[in-house]
Amino acid sequence: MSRVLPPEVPSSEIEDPSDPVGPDEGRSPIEEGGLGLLTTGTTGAGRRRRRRVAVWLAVGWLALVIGTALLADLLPLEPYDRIVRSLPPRSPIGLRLDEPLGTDGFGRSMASRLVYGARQSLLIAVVAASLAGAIGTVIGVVTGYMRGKVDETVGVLLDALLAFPALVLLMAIASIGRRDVTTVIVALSVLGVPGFARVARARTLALAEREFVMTARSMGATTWRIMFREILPNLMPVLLSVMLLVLAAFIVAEGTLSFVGLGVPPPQPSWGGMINEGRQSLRVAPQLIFTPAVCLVLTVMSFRVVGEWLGDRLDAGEGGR
Amino acid sequence: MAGSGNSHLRDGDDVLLRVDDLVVEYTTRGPARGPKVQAVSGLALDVRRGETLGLVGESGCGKSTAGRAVMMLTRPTSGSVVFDGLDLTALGGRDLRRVRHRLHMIFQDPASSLNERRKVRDIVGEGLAISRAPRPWQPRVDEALSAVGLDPDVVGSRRPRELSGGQCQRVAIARALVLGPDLVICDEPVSALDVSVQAQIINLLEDMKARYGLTLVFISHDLAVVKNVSDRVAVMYLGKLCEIAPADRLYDAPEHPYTQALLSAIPHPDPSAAVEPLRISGDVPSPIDPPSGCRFRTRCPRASDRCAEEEPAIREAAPGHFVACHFPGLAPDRKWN
Amino acid sequence: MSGGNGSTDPAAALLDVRGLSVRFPTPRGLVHAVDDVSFTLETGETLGIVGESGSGKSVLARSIMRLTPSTAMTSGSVTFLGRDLGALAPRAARSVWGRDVAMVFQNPMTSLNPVMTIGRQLAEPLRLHLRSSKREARSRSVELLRSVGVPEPERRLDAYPQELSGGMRQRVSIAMAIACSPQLLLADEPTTALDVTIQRQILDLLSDLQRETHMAMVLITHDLGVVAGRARRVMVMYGGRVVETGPTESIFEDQRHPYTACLLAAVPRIEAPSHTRLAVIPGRPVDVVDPSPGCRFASRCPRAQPQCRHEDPPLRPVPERPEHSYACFFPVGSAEDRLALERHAVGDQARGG
Repeated sequence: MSRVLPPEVPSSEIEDPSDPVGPDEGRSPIEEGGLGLLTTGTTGAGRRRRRRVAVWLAVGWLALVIGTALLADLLPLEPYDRIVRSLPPRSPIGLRLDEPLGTDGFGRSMASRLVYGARQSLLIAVVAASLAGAIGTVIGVVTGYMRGKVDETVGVLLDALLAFPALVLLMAIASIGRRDVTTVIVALSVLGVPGFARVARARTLALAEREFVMTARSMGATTWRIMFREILPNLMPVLLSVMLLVLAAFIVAEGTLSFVGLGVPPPQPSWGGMINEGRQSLRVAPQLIFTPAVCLVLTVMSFRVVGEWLGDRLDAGEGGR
Repeated sequence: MAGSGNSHLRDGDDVLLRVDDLVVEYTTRGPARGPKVQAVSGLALDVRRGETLGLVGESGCGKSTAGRAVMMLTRPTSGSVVFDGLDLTALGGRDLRRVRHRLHMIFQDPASSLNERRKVRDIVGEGLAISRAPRPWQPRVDEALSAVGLDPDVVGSRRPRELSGGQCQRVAIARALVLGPDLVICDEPVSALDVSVQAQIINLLEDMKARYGLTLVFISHDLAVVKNVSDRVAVMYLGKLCEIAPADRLYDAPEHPYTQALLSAIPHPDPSAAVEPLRISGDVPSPIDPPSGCRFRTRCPRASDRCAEEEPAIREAAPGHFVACHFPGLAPDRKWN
Repeated sequence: MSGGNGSTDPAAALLDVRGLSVRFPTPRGLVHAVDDVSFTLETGETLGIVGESGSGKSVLARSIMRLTPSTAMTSGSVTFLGRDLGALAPRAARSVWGRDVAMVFQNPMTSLNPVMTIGRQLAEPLRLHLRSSKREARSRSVELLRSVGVPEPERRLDAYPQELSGGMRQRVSIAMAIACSPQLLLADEPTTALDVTIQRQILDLLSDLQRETHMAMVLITHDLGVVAGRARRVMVMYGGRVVETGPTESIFEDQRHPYTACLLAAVPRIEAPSHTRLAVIPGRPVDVVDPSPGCRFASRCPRAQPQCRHEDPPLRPVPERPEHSYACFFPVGSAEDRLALERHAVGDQARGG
């Protein structure tokens, strides 16, 4: 077979460093096209556009909520516990420009209570979610990597926690302590730890088998280094999107606690508490329930939309190898 | 099929790695603690400094497990792994860690062997960080990247996701080189790559070996690739060693029926060559309950009663050529060469 | 692309693919996975399709079976036994798939349903296409398993796919594919995931089946050795296009396209002594996203000329052997080729190597 062969190129010159990023060997365009299917559904571009609009709306709403919650003190709002003199209680929405959302059952400013309530709900949810996330992740990584007796014992404890209906657990913990913010945060954190631990453990189990972990071991890395410098960074994207979903759930949970009277004590506003207070006036002034409820629903939905979108993007980033 | 037997092991100062009677056992997972499986059963191998030992076999033969056992990534159940005079199996944590930088392993899946969250520069320099090598690290990292054919300025700040399989494998090789190891174990390093990229990486490994004075153990199921890179080739089956010989000799004159079967099964890119009759039948038996005596007897065209009763010991068939079989010998009607 | 693919009478061909193109919209742009591919297949013939990743060979097979994602845009025609497969109504199409045309996939782990027993999966095509009763299906399944070399077939019928080895699973997949005695089998890398001895057994099995039932086969692989022994004709694909096609001996002994030559030179040979330096193709195969005109191999070709980057080379037959065609302006071994190599080398020097 004497063909004129191409001249041999020295191996050090082969890789064209300016070569634009290409796909992998072995990854067919079917998978790529298929990936489009996963994120956008069967109709492709149109669905993708609608989804993007939804994400932007969600981000916008969250920005509004978070922004007003942060800047509450700077906004021209009545203090949330003061009765507005110029308006009767249960004033409807849009009656007056300086109180666009009316007043509640006691005559306090709805707008103000919503904003401060947002601040309360968000604060509690963020702190609790972060706490649960930190503790749960560490537990998950350690048990997932080290396995053995530690894993089994902790697993039993976590499963026991998970076996309790969430609401019952929440109320049990909340009723033990004093009725204040700290108790609510602690209760929510305890609720959230097993969830994070499970996710972290599952991913750790998968990552621990990967060759880059083996390589680190073979180069002499200690167990702790591997857990926290190899595995943990790879968990971050997943944890972030889980965090957002958990945030949404915690806002609802806090609302539930307030609704049953175990949450933040009055006159501190919280959306759940406002819904509870508005119950009595349902027939006369339904806006007292619906305004905080709508805010709650929109916020939770927005967190979920952003959380899922983030999850998809990060998954596509990793899965699209 | 070799049972015990290490008559093929060589002595001498230049023997870098000597594995003797290596056994790696694991319990099968499942609802009940399952039976034990011996992935590697009494393996004995040695590699001289500067040599490339090829390790071939089909799936389940234990070659990858053997590689990991040598690297002490999987703790051997018994046996010894002597690296440059040190028995690695006897070393404790800290002592072992001190030696680790002299052995390195390159894996099959280039994407999986790199940490996706890190940049290429950090990946390559990781070994230096772990072993707390004196700074500066950058020049050493850049030199390794250039050596494998990547431009450090362009590739250095990229992440594995932005690289192709071939480039990832180059990064893995650079990561190995930067530590200046003595022994590099390559576990199917080109199996996941396209044909045209395979050739690049094979040539690269040969170049790096020559340039840095490496000793290689090349594990693969691809017989042609193994022949191309190796000086000596060992054939494994169900955890045991069948045959070991210099590369050219093993392929020209295989004595063990399993080696002959493997060679007869390879498709040749030559349409005029007649298709050789396949010298093997059936499927690989389960490793949980391997056949008595010689493990290959259930598929061997030459099996007899003796093979079921007595496990063959490894014996010298020709200078440097060792076989573990009761009836070694050239197969009839070999077509090529 | 014009013919030169050896078919004497297209009307008699079993499978006639003309101008098949498949495109996918992806976030990166429009991927031209398959670009204007044409070939024919006679009854009982084996065609080998060879290519690396990005060559489009798998997409080609799937688009013949209409297995591409809904986002794929397909043009061209696929005619099977005179019927245009693309124009068939879904019900009519369903009577073709699995019955007259069957496919075997690469990964036996994923091509079998893990929650159904082997028996149920085997019985599916029989009951669907041949309207067999449960009992008939079961006995035929046992026969099928035996014919593909599965030991103790009655026992295996009640087993689940995870309980079998890779080789066994692939045999089961083949049994499912041949259950209704198809006239055409598309085998997409059927042995790539298997050990070499099992590979050989599976390929022997496929050859035996072909001999018995006169089944035509399209054998898709990246392994040139596999097609050398089994296919009468070979089609080499690169970047979604056919770069060379013709009788197997002709392709192996007398390659015209530089890619084919490079591919053959880059594979390590058993006959070659150890430490033989492998000839290397620089760069790597890339997916074709929004391609510009010109030969797709030009960026890696050792003899690429300006013309190659601007014009698409058409498929031209080799003068002495019209069944063998290639798509190159400067084919290997021609006078233009030598000139091109020189010019390329000079150009390299001028650019500073």
